[in-house]
Amino acid sequence: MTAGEGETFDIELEENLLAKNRELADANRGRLDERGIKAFDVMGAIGSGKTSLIGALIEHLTNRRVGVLAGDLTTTIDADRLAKRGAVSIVQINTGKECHLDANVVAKGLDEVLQHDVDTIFIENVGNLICPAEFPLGSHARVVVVSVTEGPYMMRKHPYIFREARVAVVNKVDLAQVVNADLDQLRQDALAANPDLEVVGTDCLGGEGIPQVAAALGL
Amino acid sequence: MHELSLAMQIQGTVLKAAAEHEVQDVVEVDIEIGELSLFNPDQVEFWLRQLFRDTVAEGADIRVATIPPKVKCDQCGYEGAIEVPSDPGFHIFMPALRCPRCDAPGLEVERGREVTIKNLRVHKAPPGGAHA
Repeated sequence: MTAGEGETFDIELEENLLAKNRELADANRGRLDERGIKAFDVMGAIGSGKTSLIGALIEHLTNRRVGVLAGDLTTTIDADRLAKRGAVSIVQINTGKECHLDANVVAKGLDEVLQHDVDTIFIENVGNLICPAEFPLGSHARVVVVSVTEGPYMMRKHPYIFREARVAVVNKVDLAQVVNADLDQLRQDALAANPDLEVVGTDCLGGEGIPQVAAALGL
Repeated sequence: MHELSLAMQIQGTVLKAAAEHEVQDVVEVDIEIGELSLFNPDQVEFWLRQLFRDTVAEGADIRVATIPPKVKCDQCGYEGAIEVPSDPGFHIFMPALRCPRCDAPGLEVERGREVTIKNLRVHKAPPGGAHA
């Protein structure tokens, strides 16, 4: 190669893109542990009942000071709903075009929520069962919410997200009969994806199963 | 949609490295995507091509290698490969992972979930010379 042609060479990067998120997630966990705060991230499809679950848990956990990071694409509807249920602090994370929260946006949300006197934080992920599985946020446990109205195959189609979770909430059990849902089958499918899961049936609007979810999270 | 955010992260990393090395052309970008990651290589490549437009990486040869999974079974101690269906819908409808030897669920995934930018091949014009 002559000088006139310039030069061609390799730049070795070896940059693991998901590792960066994991590092940030570990840092988030460190900040929470320093303050003795427990954080839980709630994942699930749109309309599965993530916000209702968090709202019901806040009302149930009368001895805890709960903060919420509410991930939403563009609206403040969920944050407004949770404010009425007694959350100490609600930080809305508008993700714009993104389909999941990542550890970086959660770190920014923590900057705000940690200015308040909270001992428990719920992080509501964007309604999606695929992308969030790939991005740990630094919470102490992940919860997946599936409602019986989403059809019989949610667990079988999305086992990955259940592998990442400690608790699977099967919501809207009060509608199970109407939509012909087989609760035992859903439980078996969830356990096939992750044998260590706690599976809890709930009616988040009526309050059924909420104490069991809290217990499964050690609250 | 998360392929776009991943592609934006790759674009940022590539353009930063190119600027640091003061190169005029990124000729080739080598990426590895694990077969068990929830990223579709074709979509990542598509978005990268769009994001590279009007940059030093426009027209770069984007090479995406898929990395086969390596798993470990807690139950029987199996360590090695598992079959991944080649169905394009696999990205969304992922089957539960089971040990190929004892059929136990809950495998530990050692490889096959990572996304890595391995290498860039770049071109640097001679000092004061024309852009090659």
